[in-house]
Amino acid sequence: MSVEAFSEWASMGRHGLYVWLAYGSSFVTLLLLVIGTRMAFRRALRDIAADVAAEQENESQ
Amino acid sequence: MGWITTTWHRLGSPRWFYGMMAPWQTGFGIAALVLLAVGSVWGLVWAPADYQQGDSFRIIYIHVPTVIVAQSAYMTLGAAGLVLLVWRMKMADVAMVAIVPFGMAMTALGLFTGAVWGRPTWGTWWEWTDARLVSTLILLFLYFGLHALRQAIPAAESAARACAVLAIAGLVNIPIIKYSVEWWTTLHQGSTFSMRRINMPAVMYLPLLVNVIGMYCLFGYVMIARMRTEILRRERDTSWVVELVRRPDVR
Amino acid sequence: MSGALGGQIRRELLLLARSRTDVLNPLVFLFLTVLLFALALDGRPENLRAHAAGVLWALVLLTNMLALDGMFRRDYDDGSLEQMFLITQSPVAPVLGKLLVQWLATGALITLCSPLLGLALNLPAKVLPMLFLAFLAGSPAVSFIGAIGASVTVGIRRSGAILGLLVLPMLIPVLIFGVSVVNRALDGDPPGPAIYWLAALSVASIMAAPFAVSAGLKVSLEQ
Repeated sequence: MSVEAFSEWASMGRHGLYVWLAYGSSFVTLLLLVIGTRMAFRRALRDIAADVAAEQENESQ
Repeated sequence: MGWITTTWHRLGSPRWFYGMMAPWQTGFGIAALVLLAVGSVWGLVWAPADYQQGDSFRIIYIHVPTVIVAQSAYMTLGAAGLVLLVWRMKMADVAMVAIVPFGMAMTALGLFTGAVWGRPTWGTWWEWTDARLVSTLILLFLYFGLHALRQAIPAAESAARACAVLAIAGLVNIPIIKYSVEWWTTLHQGSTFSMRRINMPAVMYLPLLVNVIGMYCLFGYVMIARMRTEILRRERDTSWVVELVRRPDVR
Repeated sequence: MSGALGGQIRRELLLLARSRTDVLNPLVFLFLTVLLFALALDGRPENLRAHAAGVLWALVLLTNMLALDGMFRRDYDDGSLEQMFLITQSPVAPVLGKLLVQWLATGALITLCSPLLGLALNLPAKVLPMLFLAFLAGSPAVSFIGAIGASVTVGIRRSGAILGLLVLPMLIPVLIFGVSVVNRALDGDPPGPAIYWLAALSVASIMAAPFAVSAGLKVSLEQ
């Protein structure tokens, strides 16, 4: 694919700004949503693991 | 038919849900990634430009799936609220907790991409006389209300059931709101713009279909993942969760 | 059933007679906000007339939010709500009585005052009967749907803003149809289907709200 053909495609027939704004915002939102979901899951596991470890320590003392 | 009731009862068990849904979560996640990537690239590269709207038409491939899923999420919320009040199934509340932030984000995103689509197509970012825009905005406020109510009530169980009452009331109201807003916009026909019923050829609707299915898979992934997170938080003192976090492979 | 309903209505009316300021305050607030709008819109007659229907309906919805916020508060604080649930698990009849009296104290009162409010915003006299009719048909829906929100927020200490957030989106159909009725009358047209829609919304909410409200109150009492 030539550079010209690519830049013509990227310009979306004068509507490039709108098309890429829409797709860009969607991409970022969905990415943040997925990352936030994964991080919340990991954090929950980690917090509970820390609690359990602390309790074990208390018992062994 | 026995397996239906068995599955129904098992769905009420957090532990069963947590274990059984792990592969589903992965599956939905991968499917969402692949389908959304394929559908978006298809829509952006190979689908032809619309003969009237030009290339801005390509926004439809991301905008429409977002709004469809945002509405479906509220329907699911109402259904979960009904299950919670009728069968007192606590997992229904776990589902509601998982859905609200997702639905809110998707509704806001749908409004934003709708505005970005409206600008080149109709020459305006926002049009009060367009029924779809206005009812999506109202949907966003319904989500805000559920979120605010959940935050305002400290007791978890009361918050759950109050949200269920509200979600059901919202679900009953949505068709009435939609009808009234549509009826209202027809009064202003002079200034309104109407989306012409597009008879889309396959090259145009197939990428849309792929993205709609992909967005539903994403809904499935986020809902299951957040439900499993919520289950861990609520069941943190039970023996099965303690056993689970001790296993080295889940760290 | 009817005994419970009648008893509740008598009790509520008695309470109402003892706390007249609680009834009058929202009404005074409504008149005050109409005054604000009259000044904000330059006071020019044609300007006021053009916006009167929308301003009035929006202000009536907001005034109702103020009144609804306190509607279960006293009974919640002094334990009479709890007693209601001791007698029956689903006190639909007494709840209906409470809602009817709440409507009398706000919606009906506002409806009675609506011609005056219309005059204040320079609506011509020929529109006033239709304005009255629109509020008569629509205000029960406002009170009854609003009460659902009030029932789930009664346990929350500062519930004013949240109540509006929950209830106002659901009242948008009432606003749309109500404004349309008045504006059509202003153009000299018959009200059309909007007035029937208002009445239908009111009837439906009178039938459904007592069940939703008693479910909501039950939730609020358990926290």
